[in-house]
Amino acid sequence: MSMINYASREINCKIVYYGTGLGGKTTNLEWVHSRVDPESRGKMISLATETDRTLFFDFLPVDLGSIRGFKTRFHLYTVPGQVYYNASRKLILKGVDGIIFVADSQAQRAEANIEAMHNLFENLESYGYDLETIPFAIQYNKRDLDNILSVEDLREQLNPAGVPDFEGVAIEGKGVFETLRAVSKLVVKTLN
Amino acid sequence: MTMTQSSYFVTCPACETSFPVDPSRVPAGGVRAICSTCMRVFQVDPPEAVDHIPADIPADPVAARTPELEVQTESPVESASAPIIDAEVEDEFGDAEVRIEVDDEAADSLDDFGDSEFEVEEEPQDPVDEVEAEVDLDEPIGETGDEAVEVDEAATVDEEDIDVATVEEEAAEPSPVADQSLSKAAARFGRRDPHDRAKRLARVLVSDMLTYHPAQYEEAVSQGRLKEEFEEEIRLSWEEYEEQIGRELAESTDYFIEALNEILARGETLFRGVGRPE
Repeated sequence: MSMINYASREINCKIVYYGTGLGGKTTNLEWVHSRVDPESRGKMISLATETDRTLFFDFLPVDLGSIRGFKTRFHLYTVPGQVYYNASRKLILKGVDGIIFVADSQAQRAEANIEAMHNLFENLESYGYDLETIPFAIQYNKRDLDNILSVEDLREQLNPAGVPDFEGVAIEGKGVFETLRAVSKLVVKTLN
Repeated sequence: MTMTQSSYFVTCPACETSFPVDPSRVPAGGVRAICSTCMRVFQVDPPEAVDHIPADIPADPVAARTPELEVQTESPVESASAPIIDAEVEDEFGDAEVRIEVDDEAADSLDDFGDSEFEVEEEPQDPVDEVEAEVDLDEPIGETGDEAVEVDEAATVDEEDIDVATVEEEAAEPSPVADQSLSKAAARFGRRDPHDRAKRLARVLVSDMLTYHPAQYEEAVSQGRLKEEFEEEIRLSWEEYEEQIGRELAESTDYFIEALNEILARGETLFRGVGRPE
């Protein structure tokens, strides 16, 4: 949950990119990192296996305005998407302030998207987090590829609650900041 | 940050940043913590055991599974912020929380960032009328440890209308985003029939093998060496499958075997039996 660092006069918020394996979570984070002011960003750190198969997480603080003299620092994390890394996914969700679910629009990944969404809800519930209070947005990524589902189908499968959702081509930056902006705004509001 | 007289210090074994810890928040078995400075996960033991923390503790179950984790630094820009104990630690230590009241205008100012502009505002455009903070955070103290005693929120916060309230460890009240009706999604996701869950989990675990190793997969198919080439992947996937759905259900059904045959073996009966693949 959000925390204040009085020494540096910062409010720290944690946003986690969640979703199926190879769906574009890291691409989102890399795009953000490449476009923000270098003076306001921290190091991007990835912990990868020897085979570079799975990112453990990335870490990216981004300053974003200030509230009464307190800067808001967003810490952006990805989780490893491959299903059998659930332990680390769960660990990274601890203390989350906002979640961006990156769905892979390709038809062959539909089942993986749904499983990842179930997994997200299960892991949040295991911490006793109140799902109604966690800012949440969905990005339907890879809209540039062939054999993708329609946004309507994806929405039906993944977004029954009607949370903010966006189309994305993360590798080109499309939808990346729109999604982040939506969740960031909700996170700031929940600091209430 | 509130330093109590009984606080003790733990030091990240990787970067040696020290953090003050309230012992009342560390259970007898200790907790895992993530160092916000270097992101190392390490064990925090109760005070009486602190002297015995080994220098190189296995980080966590994930690290144990992937013992050759590497740290890659991709940006030379250092964070300007003071190190902090990250939220994982904070939660483990007692659900400390922070509450800040902002108005919609402040939130709307976030519209200013986008693909080309993600700037830092040095001063608020529209100062909020009231800011309330409730904190109970133990913050790190850098290399020496001397700064910790000096970091006191009451002393360092000089904004006249910032009110540092007493410690509160209860859950925050529901926020405006409850309007998102996420409860509807919660009703649909996260609660499912154990058998449906097992079947889907098995299929996605197996599907991941192909997704993450397409070249290796095609080569293994052409050589007729699927079992051998994917032995490790199958083992890891089975362990996760068993952990998530429970041993009894995993061992008594053929869902995992079916998924292997249907997806990995492309419909051939390469794997037989029930439960754990042979």
